[in-house]
Amino acid sequence: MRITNSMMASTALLDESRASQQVYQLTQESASGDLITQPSDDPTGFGTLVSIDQQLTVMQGRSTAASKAANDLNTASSALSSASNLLDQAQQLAIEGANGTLDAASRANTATSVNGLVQQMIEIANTQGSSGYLFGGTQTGTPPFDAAGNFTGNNGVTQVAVSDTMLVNSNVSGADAFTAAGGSNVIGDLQALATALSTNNVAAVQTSITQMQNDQNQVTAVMVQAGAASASLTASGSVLANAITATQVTRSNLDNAATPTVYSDLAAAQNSYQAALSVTQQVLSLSSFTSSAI
Amino acid sequence: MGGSLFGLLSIAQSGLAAQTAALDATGQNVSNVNTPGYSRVTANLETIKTPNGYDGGVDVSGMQRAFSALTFGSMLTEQGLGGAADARSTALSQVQSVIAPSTGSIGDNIDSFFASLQSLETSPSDPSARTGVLDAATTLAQSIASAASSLSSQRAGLATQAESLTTTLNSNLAQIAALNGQIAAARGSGNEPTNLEDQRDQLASTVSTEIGAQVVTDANGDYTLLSSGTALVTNGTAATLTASVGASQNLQITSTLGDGTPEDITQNVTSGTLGGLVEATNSDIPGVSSQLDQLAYNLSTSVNAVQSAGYGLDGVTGRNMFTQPAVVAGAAAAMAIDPAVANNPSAIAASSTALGLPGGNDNAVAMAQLADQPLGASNNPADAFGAIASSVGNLTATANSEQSLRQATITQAQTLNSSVSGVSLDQEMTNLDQFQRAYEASSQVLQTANTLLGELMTSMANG
Repeated sequence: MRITNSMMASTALLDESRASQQVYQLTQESASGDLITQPSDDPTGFGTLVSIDQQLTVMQGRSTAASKAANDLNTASSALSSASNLLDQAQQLAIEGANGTLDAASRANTATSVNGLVQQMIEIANTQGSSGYLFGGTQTGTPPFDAAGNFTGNNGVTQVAVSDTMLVNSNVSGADAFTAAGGSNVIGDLQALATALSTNNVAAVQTSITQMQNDQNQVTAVMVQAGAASASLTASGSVLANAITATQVTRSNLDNAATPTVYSDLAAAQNSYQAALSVTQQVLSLSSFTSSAI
Repeated sequence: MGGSLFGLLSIAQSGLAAQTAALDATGQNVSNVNTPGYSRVTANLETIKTPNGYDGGVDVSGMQRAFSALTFGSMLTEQGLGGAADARSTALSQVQSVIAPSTGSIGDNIDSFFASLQSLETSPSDPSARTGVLDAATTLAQSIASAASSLSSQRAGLATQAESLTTTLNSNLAQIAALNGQIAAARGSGNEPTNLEDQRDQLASTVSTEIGAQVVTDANGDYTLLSSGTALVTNGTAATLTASVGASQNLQITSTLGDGTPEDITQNVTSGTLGGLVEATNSDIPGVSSQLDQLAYNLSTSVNAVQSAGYGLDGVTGRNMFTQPAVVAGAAAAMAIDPAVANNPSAIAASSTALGLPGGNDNAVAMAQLADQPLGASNNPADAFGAIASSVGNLTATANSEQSLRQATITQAQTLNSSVSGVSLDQEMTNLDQFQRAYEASSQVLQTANTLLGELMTSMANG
């Protein structure tokens, strides 16, 4: 083939252009740390990254929701534990009040203590969590128990998603814990005990002793439900955390440029570019005009 | 038979003239070594035939241009394909940057929207969580609408580029037709207009990059430039091309040769920059736009179905999250927050019943779970976006590979053509030496003939 000067120049330029493109691509990868910065880098890989990012976002959202709901359930459980303790104290006061040696004035004093417990119980039943009242069902915006102890909430259940298909309860029923919906009206029973004590009705006080036990069992049963739901959410949170870590590793394997490889490739590409430049320089300086005529 | 000293003078003179012409050609070649489109010339030297068979000397019969129709045609083909690949690659890179910017892509906004619904799950009555959902929904709708609008603008921009390109093309075609006339006239008067032919080839090369071209010159010297299944130049007549935006915003290219009827050649324009622009405008971008419309339609419909079934904090039901599109076409560009929920965080329907207000979250859970559910008959929302991005990535990567391949094949074709037509300084240097020596020798012959004639005159005068 007959070789002309423009052939040498255009071939050298093409080689230089290829070498510089490679340096550019590898510089981008080493600077960003990502193998895939745009869809055309790896169309299938980019689609997979979008999918992985979506999974990560959803799992992180579920993990956050599960953790928040578990905290609220722990708060509810702790409130129910306090309620149980209150009922224990009320039962002790009932036992004292049922003592036949006690006079009416002493029972009236005990009634005052029980009335204090009633107020504390109402406060406990109106405990608030991260997003409103915990024992009002879905009626979270207003206190579920009024000053007289009447229930104004509902029995609505709230749930959070921990997977595509699995939902876990994120509240417990205040109605079941404190009202006749659960079997006994806890606040009403405490009020009845206070009335029996203040009216010196020993028989009614004695009935309350058993009632306090029943109430305590009722509150404890809901507390167990809260604990179980919280444990379930915490366990789901751990599963999600492991899944998030595994997914992040998958993402990293797909997208992260392996630093040593990229750096060595970059060094090789730079050498190749440098060589292409030197070759171009030498080729273009070759001419019989320069060597003999001039 | 036999020569004469006067004949020798004439031979020497013809030698000097011939070597001068050859040196002139070499000088032309050297000075045009870097001139685009220049074809090297050589002086055609031939012996002057005389009846006695010798003493005619040398004659310059003309200047010949080094040209191969085969290598030139192959270069035109590759330049046409390269022009299309360049234009399409550039257009698709822009599409890619619209669909998948490095941050804040539609995919990111889909993720943020569903993440905001997950936050609402645990705080259904919290105004900030509701505002978060509304903001995320607004951003998502805006990003989809803005991408659709950018694609439309880009399409319009490519059409404008095509219109401007046809103006340049028409000028180039007219120049080729004019050169055809000048070349024919020069040949008619016995000249070899190599510089005009170079100019015409250079213009044909430009036209090929613009729309793809093949050149046919028959034995009579009739010249035809063909492209896109039609003749754009026939001898002194050039076609006029027009690019316009037709039905469905598609680019339409018509060609009118001379006073002929305009011919719609859109389907055949597949080569050159114009071919790339037609493919990007009429096929690539509409394809991406329709995928985006499908995503917007499915996403709006799915989210609206759940949102409208639930109750806002104000106890009102039946309100959509996004303006419900009636049809798929145009759904992306029209995507927006429904006026019934705009600026009204309370309208986000977190509860499926009025009784469940304000803490009921079942509807919020159902909306958040849409993140993992198929949209219509396809993937979940993020994967549906991923499929669009992958498809754009595939188109762009293919176009980029094609562009890279064409760079190489163009260089190869240019190299082959240059091998025939290009200037080699080494060769010219050798020629320069060769013709210089020949000139010196002819000069010596002239001097010898002159000396001999001088001696003859002297002896005649003395005799």
